[in-house]
Amino acid sequence: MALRLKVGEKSPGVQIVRPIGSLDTMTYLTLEDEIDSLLQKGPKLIIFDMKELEYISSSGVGAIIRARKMMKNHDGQVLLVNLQPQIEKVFEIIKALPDERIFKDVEELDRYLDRMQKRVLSQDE
Amino acid sequence: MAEQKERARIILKNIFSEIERIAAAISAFGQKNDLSDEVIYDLRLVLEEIVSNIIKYGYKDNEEHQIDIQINLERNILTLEVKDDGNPFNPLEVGNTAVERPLDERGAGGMGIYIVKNLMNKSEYHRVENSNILLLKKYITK
Repeated sequence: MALRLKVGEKSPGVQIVRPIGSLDTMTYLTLEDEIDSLLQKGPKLIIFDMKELEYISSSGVGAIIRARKMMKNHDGQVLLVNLQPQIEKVFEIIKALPDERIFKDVEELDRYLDRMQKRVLSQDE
Repeated sequence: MAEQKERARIILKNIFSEIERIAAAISAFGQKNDLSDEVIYDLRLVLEEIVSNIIKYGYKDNEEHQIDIQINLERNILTLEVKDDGNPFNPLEVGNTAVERPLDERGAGGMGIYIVKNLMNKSEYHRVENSNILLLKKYITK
């Protein structure tokens, strides 16, 4: 099974990546390449929307961990949303869930982003 | 009642593109034997992790090798046997440090074997003649 990536800008500085299909030994480099080129745009936040991801192996989780590290080095962060049960299970087994940054769905994520934005705006005032 | 016994065999070459064949073979075996989607997922994942490790680290030469996988379902016990003629290596001896470190300090290695140990109920390794043999068992509830 192949991997397709849909990538878009949700708002200024916020990139959303939707992996579709299978993130595994055969396909994880596609995601890593995409993240490398996204970093050129200097995003503050990369959101992985996993709604249509059907399969993940340790290579796939490794690609997400790598993205998280790289974003941290650029003072940014990575958020995960819509993890399907079979995907969440793999993250759980290898203790790779950054629990404060997982969101059940897009609405929960949007509420979090709103709060973040308000906090930034109040700091700017 | 006759005992249920089902077998399947997958022979792969030691190149990454061969890993794709695991998913199709496991899915066909699972459907034939009424295995749940969760068990089919687990078996595919376990085999991908083992085979990708063998291809990545198993061989000193650049020759073609065979990785021989046998699947055996007897009543509720599913056995995977993975045999390769690579360097002697017991993956079960790999420690758990890969998943105990904080996320930001992790490398790519070690997580796959941890998944294998976690998803299977019993695992054994044998070196027989020039082959590594990994025997893994999973108790299935349908």
